[in-house]
Amino acid sequence: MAGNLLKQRRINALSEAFAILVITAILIVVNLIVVRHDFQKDLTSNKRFTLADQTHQLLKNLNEPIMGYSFFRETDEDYATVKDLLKQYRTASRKFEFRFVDLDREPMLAKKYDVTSYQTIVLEQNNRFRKVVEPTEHALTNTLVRLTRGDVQKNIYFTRGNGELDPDSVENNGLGFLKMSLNDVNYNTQSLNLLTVKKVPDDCDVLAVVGPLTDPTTEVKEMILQYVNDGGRLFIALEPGSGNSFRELLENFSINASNNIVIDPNGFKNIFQPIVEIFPPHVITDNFDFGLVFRVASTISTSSRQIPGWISSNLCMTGSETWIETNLDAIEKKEIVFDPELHQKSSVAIAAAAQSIPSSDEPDAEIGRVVAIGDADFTGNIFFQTFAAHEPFIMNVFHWLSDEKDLIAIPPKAHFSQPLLLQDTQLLVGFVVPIVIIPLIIALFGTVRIIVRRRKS
Amino acid sequence: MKAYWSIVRRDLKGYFLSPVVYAMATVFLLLTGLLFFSNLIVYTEISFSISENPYISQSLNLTSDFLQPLIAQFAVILLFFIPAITMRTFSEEKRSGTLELLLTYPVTNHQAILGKFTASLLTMGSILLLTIIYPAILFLWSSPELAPILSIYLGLLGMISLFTAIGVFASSMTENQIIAVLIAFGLNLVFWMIGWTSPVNNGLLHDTLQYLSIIDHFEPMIKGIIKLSDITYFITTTIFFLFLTGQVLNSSKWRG
Repeated sequence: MAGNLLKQRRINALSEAFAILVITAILIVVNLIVVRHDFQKDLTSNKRFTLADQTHQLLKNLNEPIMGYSFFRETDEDYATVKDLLKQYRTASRKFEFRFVDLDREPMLAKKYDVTSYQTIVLEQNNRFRKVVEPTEHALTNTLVRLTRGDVQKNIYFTRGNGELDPDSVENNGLGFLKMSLNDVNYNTQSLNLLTVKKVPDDCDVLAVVGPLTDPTTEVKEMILQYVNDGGRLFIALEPGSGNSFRELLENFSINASNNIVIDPNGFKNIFQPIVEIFPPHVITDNFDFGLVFRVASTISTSSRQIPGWISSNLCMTGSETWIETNLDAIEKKEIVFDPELHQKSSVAIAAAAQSIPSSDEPDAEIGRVVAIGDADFTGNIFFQTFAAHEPFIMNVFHWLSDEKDLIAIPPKAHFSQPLLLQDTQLLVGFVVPIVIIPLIIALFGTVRIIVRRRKS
Repeated sequence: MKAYWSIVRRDLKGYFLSPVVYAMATVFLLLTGLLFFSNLIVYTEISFSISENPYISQSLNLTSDFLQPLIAQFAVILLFFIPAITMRTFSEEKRSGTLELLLTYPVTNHQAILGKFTASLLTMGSILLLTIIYPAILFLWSSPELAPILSIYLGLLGMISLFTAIGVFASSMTENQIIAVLIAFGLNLVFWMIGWTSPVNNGLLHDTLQYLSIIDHFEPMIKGIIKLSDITYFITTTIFFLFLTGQVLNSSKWRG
């Protein structure tokens, strides 16, 4: 009898253990299936945990596997951010894999990729590798593009000789940060004085004229015109009050560049800092949903007098409250007043793009492109660094000019700034309600309820 | 179903007619209220100090810089509180000898377990719901993102669901409520800390331990990301512990 009881208990114990194993196995399998086919929804307003469509497209089109080596320790500040980002890339494509590497435990791997310190990411494909300059989606995706495309390098020449901004300068009004951003995505940048050459170099993919203070010689102007008409690519940023000769040059490409100043009553810090939030359709500004801030800008727009063989379009426009001041003396004397007889409020363009149309005689002719912006400070170091949307905008300009349509300038996630500047009374509410009132209500409610129940019983 | 609902009602009545739950709710809200206010002071000070720099203040966000760390602190409090709520679910019945009566026909083990689990979950959920006053206060002064707040509370619901299931399981193992609290608290800590214990940075062991960690699934939800795998994790682990509870009750029958 006792033996039978013991036997029965053993059978019961075994069957329970088996049931636990089976249920555990089922639940594990369910989790594995879901992880393999995971789906996520980003509920934040600016979708800050979602990869850009361009990144998704790039990852979807990967032909060969990519391995990411992340030299980050768990104690590093960006570890969690990098892990989240790399996980998103892995979720987006099965051809993307990553792992974290401890420099101290795997020194040979670190040596192979020339990594000497933590907080570095290396991407490898088919024995070619590249380091990622910073742990952001923008940098990671652009590195992926460079890695998958091979080592094609394009050349950007910044003109000097007419007082242009200096690409080697990291002062406030230099172009050092723009140059660094271009170098980071493998553009080769050089300075060029057109007075010292007979023509624009053959290997010039983009000629950049940024903030000239004086007019070029006739020969230089002709050189640039010839270069663009032969299929060259020109980027030109002009400060109001200077570069009149360059403004005339732009007329050849159906772009009107007036010598005036855009006045924006709703400007960033003052009326001379117009904010641009309207982007007419163009490849450069696809998915662009951010404001740009200019500092003393003039209008640059598609010309009413279109040149045969050239088509232009506005790139960005101000709000409808802006108006144009043509009296630059009034600005000097700070006598800026809206006069309905002289001025008209409307949305105006501060940048324009133009492209040549091959004629029927020469359908295979090289296509020339021009982008002009009515403010050189816009590309300068201080504005480049201060406003997160400026860099992707300018980079997209250069990518379009150099036909690098795969190179993606991921627009930054829109900032959702929410500081709380609470006064004493508001802080008092923040103290009294959660710490005094709510707990007191619960305590009183409970006390009353129990007293009432006890009286009833 | 009728038996299930009668158990739910019975246990809810037991909770809400007991001074213990009100005392615990008061202490919980006091603690969370203190955390809310102290975080508010810090956030306000940071807001004032960086308000002169438009570039840095662009990145100050109520959801990621205020609510997310606040809710993470709430979660630590819940580690301790939920075992205290659930300790009496089966322990009390065992101690008073009413468990056998409860488990006789027409109430099945599953109905009893689910009924008690539901009552505990509803009790803790009600207390947690009162914390909605904190984001509500923020709406007086600013515009926090609403959708991530819903995601935060969904994450909290998942967490309390798992902790409640663990608490019910722990309670089923003993008639001593203190031991039940200790077992539940210990298991909660295991799930909290298991992701930190991997000896390596990569590989199957690391990934498995990370996946088992409740933090790995709770963090995305309090950021505003809802993942199918996180919801699945909370549901399956809750089911697992409720199933284990059933096995414990079954075994106590044939062990005598």
